[in-house]
Amino acid sequence: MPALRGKAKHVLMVTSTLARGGCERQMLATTTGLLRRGYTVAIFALAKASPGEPTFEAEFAALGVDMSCATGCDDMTAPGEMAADEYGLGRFMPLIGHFSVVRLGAAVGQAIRRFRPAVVHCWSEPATVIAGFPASALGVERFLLQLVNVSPIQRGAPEFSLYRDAYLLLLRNPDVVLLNISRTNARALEQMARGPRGHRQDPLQRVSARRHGHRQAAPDRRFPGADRAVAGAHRRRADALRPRERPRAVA
Amino acid sequence: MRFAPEKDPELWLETAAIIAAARPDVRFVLAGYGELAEPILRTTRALGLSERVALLGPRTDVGAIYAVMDVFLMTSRFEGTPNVLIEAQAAGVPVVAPLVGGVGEAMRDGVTGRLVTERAADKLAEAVVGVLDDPRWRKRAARQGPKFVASQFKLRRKIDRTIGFYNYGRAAPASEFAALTGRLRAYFQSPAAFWVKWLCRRRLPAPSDQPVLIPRQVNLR
Repeated sequence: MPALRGKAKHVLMVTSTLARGGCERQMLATTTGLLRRGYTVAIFALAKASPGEPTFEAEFAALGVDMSCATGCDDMTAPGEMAADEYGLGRFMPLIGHFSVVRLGAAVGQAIRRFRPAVVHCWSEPATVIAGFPASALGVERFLLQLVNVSPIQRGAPEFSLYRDAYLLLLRNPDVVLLNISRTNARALEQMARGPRGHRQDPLQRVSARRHGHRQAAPDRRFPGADRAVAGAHRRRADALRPRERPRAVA
Repeated sequence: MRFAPEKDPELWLETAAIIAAARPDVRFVLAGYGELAEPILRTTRALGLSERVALLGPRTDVGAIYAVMDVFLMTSRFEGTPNVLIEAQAAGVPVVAPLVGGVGEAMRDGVTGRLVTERAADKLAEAVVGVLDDPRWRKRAARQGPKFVASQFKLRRKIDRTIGFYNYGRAAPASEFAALTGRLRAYFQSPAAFWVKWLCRRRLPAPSDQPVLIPRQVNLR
């Protein structure tokens, strides 16, 4: 698939819903700051908030931000038969029971094609995975997977292994940045994602936790090109992976 | 508070019951919404706190709510970096929270609040009562909270870093270098730099064998 040529300073924020919560509040603050710096921001929500649930829609509307929702434009319910799996999201169907991850991913892909962002900024799970794969497949220049809430990997939730697999695939793309708002949680995520000792093929073995906003460390000279890959809460060394470890389907 | 299992409102109410028994003058405020709203109402009645707990429902005027608080209590099972804790401190309200997730990064233990290592009702209640019983410490914490938040959670800095991540490995280093050289050029062409150099020349002793320390301006701000 040819890489998407994004418009400069265009950011597409993807979130699960716009219901009032800590993650959405962070997203609102970030959007406000980015608009002041001359960025163009669009919001894409995977689902509408439940009826009666308070949302941040009015605040985003007041900022003049373009908002759209996957469930507002098409049927996103989990189908009996698998829809065309454009972005390899089929294996992550169990992440959400009542919506089709594949259809949501396709809707995110449409939003990316329509808005043509230079950056796709995904906020918390499952938006990180559902938007991460289309962004990766479409060759978006940079996409941030920002974990604001505690990850299911840390909570030991049943979908733990699916999220772990998803991040393993996504982190191999050199354009991905995985951010964790808390240093403690970033470390915990790193430790839990590493798996048992001696599991050498796991690229997260080469990931070290960094809190969002902490000073970037000096480039690690042990890995050629590692300085380009250092970013965010996690330090990826995708460039250091052996060629056979690099996936072909993703990135 | 989002009334969800990870926020553990049951523990919040249990803690409130212990505090209520120790301090008959204390009233409680719980604002929020969520799936556990009904169970919260039932537990409040069961604990005999109906007269002392105000359940406000979902609210957006959080500033007004923080204004009536003497202490903010959090009982979450998991947390990232909790916004409510930051907001409470910014509003000058001392906080009490268990040491879970990134809570320890969002407050300064003993300065802006009390961090409770054991997430249990009696320990949390003990910390809250300790804060309520010490008005001088509370006043100090109320002063320190906004300072701590201003130093750690500035929006400008957050946006700078987010944009840094957007541009990492691309145009950012070049433009940062250009910005730095621009600032240096502006400084050396400024009248202030001229007078600093003039003063330095006047005060320096005549050349001799003594080593001369040439002052260098390093502060670019």
